[in-house]
Amino acid sequence: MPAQQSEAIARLKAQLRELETLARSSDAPRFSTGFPSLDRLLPGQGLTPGTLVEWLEDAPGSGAGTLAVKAAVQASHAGGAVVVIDGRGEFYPPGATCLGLDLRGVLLVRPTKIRDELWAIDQALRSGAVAAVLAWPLRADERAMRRWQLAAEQCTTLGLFVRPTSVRDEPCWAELRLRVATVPIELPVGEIASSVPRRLRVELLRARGDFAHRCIDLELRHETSDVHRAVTTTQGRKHRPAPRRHAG
Amino acid sequence: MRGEPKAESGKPKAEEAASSAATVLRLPLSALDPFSPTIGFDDLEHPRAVLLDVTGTAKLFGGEKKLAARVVEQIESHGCTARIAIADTIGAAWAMACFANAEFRMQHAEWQQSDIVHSAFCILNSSAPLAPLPVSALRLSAEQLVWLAELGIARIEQLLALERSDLAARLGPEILHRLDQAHGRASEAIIAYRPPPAWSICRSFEFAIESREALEAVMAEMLKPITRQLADRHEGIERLRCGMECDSGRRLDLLVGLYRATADVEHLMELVRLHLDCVRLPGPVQALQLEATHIAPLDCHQQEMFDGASRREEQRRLAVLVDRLSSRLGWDRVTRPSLRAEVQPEYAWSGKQVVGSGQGAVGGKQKRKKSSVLTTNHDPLTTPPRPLRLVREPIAIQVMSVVPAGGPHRVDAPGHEHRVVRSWGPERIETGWWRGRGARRDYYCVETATGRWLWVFRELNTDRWYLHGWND
Repeated sequence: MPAQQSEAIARLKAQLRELETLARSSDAPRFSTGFPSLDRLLPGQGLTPGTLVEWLEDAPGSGAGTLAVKAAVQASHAGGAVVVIDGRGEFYPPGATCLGLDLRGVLLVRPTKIRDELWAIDQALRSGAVAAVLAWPLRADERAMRRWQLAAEQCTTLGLFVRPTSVRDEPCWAELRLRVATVPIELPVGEIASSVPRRLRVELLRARGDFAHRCIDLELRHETSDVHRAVTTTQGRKHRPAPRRHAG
Repeated sequence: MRGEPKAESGKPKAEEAASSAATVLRLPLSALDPFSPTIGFDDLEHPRAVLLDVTGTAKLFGGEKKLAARVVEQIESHGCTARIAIADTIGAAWAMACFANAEFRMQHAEWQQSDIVHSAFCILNSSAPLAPLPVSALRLSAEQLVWLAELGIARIEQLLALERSDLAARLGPEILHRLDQAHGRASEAIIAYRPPPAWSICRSFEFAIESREALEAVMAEMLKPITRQLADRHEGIERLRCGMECDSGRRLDLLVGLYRATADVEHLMELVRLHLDCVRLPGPVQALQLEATHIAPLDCHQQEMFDGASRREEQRRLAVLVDRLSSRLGWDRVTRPSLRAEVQPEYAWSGKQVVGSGQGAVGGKQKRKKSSVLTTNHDPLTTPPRPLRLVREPIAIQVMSVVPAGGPHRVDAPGHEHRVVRSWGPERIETGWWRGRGARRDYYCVETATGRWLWVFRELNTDRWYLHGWND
């Protein structure tokens, strides 16, 4: 019976989700990504403190950093500092204030070595006084990611990492793995460039306890960096979930 | 001798230039304790002399001459030389010690050259002999000396020749006061100097310490008495210096800075460990010195029943994080960014170092309360958008424009070629001529067909294009 079958599948899915997210109660406080339509795309209708989120981008300038900073802004509203760990030394605070980040609550850390960078991220995640850690880890091995995940969970800190798309098939310890790309908009004749918003395509590559592959387009108004509307919500192609490990 | 306070002034020769109180004498002040109940420094901005009240103590030493000889002996035994004067007033003693040369002393005072080195002392019997000395012997400020020089007054006798009332009216009461002090018409007291307690502890070892664990254990042990005493005074260590003398004769100094003063040995040791991780000891440690160079009051609060406690706990944890990060990465690597009123993008923000440059609280919840969705000084209507990533040095790129001096049409960044879908601009920035290398640039924000947002500019002087950032 197809009806029974689908029911059973739904039940099993729910059980699986429950098992995977056993460590957290389902009514853990969540906060918005700053974009209501993006929130709806996510399994918990928002970001959960104490988890890691990976924002993947094909190349610099694709918009992943923008969404990560926006999420950090939301996380900081609840109180606590935002620690920016910038190993490349290219984070530009005036750009972050354009996205609404209050610099008074920001600690900018610029490690020079990769080892130091991994250590600094770990320390910031497990400090307990930090709302969100924003980083561009140049090289993050599986062990480091696992450590971060545990630290974040323990101290309910949100870890936001912008990473290249090349890591998309690597094992994932993050709660969410999202790919961000800018969709170029050809300028209609007679339009001024700045009046056309930026269109960002966010692809949900992986979410804990949810294997569905979804995709959404956001529009970001240039002057105010405010989202206006989500244009389309498409059901993407079936994506092979990244191999993952269980905590044990 | 006459029951009046006598001052005695010693000054090592090498200290001709103005120096701070601590360096006037290179010998510990306690070395002079046997001679006087009150020891202090003169009241100048940069003290030049040590003052001792020797009223009534001379007879214990068998006369002023013998007393002075003993003081010279004591100072010279510490490897310093001194010029000493004993007089009825502080002003006269200071003037004689600092300005009287040998010939002058010969004429006017009983003096004696010490047998050993160049120290000398003189005992002044009356205040009259001050007259031939230069006016600078009156402990005047540099500004007052300039006035007097302009008036052609070089010696004290010239000053004494003037009418008192004129002097006060023309040059102010200060000079008159100094004159009176030197001649005993105005009273002056020595303000006893009490050195701040030194929070320092030294230990040398019979056998040099080789292992890190042993070294850390000894350090923790040595820190305990310091922190305990500090905690009793509700103070904590803000900066700790660890000096290690190694077998090879080399010395290693670690400077541990804290975001907030602490008296917690565990926390201090953790920071010391982070520092030790970054250095290599030149050899086994023979002697160890720990010194709390900066002390600050501990942050103490009454217990609160509601919200306050958790907020403070958050602040404390943040301080611990900042200390750890600064210790391992370096003080300049952990900063608090803030915007600056600068047009040129490179200078539009600055990072203030959190440890080692006074206090800078990060992320207080109380500060955050005001913040709404769009916060801080960014005004979207007046400030043009800025990228999230700015390269340290602009990267030279090839850009094609349709019209000369027009916007970009094709961008050839290193390794990539991008067709421009749309672009904003130009935002012209002409500034920074006072920095020697003015910036004249036209900035464009560019969306490429590959879906990347670049921030590029045309250098107007050279007509070259550069990539300056990404709107990440």
